[in-house]
Amino acid sequence: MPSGLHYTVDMGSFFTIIVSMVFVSNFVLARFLGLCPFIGVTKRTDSAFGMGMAVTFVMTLASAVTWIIHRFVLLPQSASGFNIFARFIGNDTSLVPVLKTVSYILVIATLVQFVEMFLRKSVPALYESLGIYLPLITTNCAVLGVALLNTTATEEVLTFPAATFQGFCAGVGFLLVMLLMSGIREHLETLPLPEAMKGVPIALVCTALMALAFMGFGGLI
Amino acid sequence: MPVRPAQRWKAGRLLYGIIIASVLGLGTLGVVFAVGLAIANAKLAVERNPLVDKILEALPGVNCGACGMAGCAAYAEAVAARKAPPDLCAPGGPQVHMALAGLLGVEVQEKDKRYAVVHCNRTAAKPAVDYRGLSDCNAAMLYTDAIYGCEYACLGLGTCAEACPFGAIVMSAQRLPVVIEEKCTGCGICASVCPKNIISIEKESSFVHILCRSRDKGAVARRNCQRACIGCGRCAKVCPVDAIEIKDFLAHIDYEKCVSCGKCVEECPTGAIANFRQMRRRKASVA
Repeated sequence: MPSGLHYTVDMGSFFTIIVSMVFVSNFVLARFLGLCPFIGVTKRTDSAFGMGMAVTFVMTLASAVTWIIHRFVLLPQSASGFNIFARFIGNDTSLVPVLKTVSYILVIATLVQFVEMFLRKSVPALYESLGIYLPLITTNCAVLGVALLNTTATEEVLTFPAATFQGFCAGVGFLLVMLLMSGIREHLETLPLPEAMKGVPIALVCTALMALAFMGFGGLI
Repeated sequence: MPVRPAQRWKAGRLLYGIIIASVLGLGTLGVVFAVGLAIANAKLAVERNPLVDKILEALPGVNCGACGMAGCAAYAEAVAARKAPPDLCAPGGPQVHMALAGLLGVEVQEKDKRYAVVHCNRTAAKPAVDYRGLSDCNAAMLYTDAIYGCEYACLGLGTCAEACPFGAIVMSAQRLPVVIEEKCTGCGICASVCPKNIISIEKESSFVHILCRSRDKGAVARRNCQRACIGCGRCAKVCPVDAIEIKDFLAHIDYEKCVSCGKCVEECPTGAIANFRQMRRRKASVA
């Protein structure tokens, strides 16, 4: 086990992850990641739900896979035999943050492609219901964001289950906000708004108000 | 202090080490993933309906969206799944409809060819407003309703010509769109982008069209444009099949009833009605 990093796992920390990822540092309303699908796909509840589910799915998988990549391929301290980078740069970790971003994009894009093929073959019903949203999230910054957050060593490093769970909770937070927003926007459609405020402008105003409301969760942890 | 060669060599080696590590490492990851995906693609290949490929081949492949689907591939899948009729492809026209129907083994009712008709023939050739913004009708609409005096008239900035995927619209010297009927497929993209709604898609067999959309009272319309429809109703009176109706000071043709006799064209005091059959003949004789 590498020195200077200690691992924690207990039920308390899992609860913290839920509250933190879903409410306190919600990906859309607190971290402002994934705003493109948030504005683009929240016009109707069913498409918002599809997108939210697809993002949750990919975030969970991406968290798991990128944790493995980070731990066993990027980090030079790893004892595993197939560390490529350590052979050239020794124990220097200064390159890891740079390589992380590039390799995670590679991982996520591949993963989404693979998941798409797999679902198409094995679970056609799910493939149909996710539809266009699955390839759309290949380059979603929220997915890359959760992978990077999971592997940013602050004072403690997440364990594999905690990282995966954090990815899942981040997806659930995204799904929650997508559903809230689509519900609001379906109501907004029927309001007599000034022409200039229709569509995205009023959606952004609502987003700001929702973000303010979510700040109220700040004291929870 | 001068750098000794050994030191420079050491720093250089570290730098090269970093570059080699990054390129090799990411390259290896990429190759591993690519091989993985290739294997997955082979193993998880889904039996695709060969009909989809055949249909896709028969379609023109311009992805214009006139059928209402995301593109030709989406339409091909819908047709193969019998979820969409084979005669929605406007650019393809009757040939493609027949080909698709042949592939599906069904009959199609032959549709009339359709093309875009521009319902404006304004006389004002010079702008009444000095608009210097983006050369786009929708952008211009943010500032003014009427560049050429009439608020129903064509703005002349060529958004329709720009949008046409077939190059079937050119802007005339008067800054009016001219539809080249041989190229027009009737896909309706120009009609959907025009903020003035002066373009409509009509059957090729309809020859007589009102070239005005002004709903102003006769005097106002006439002041703005010499060729405006003033809603006098003489066309409606002379029409033998009662196909013309005056609504909001503007003549409307019911294309179901119209027999394209052309009597209204001669009767119209302002020349707001045109007979496309004559215009075509004239064009043919010139050519």
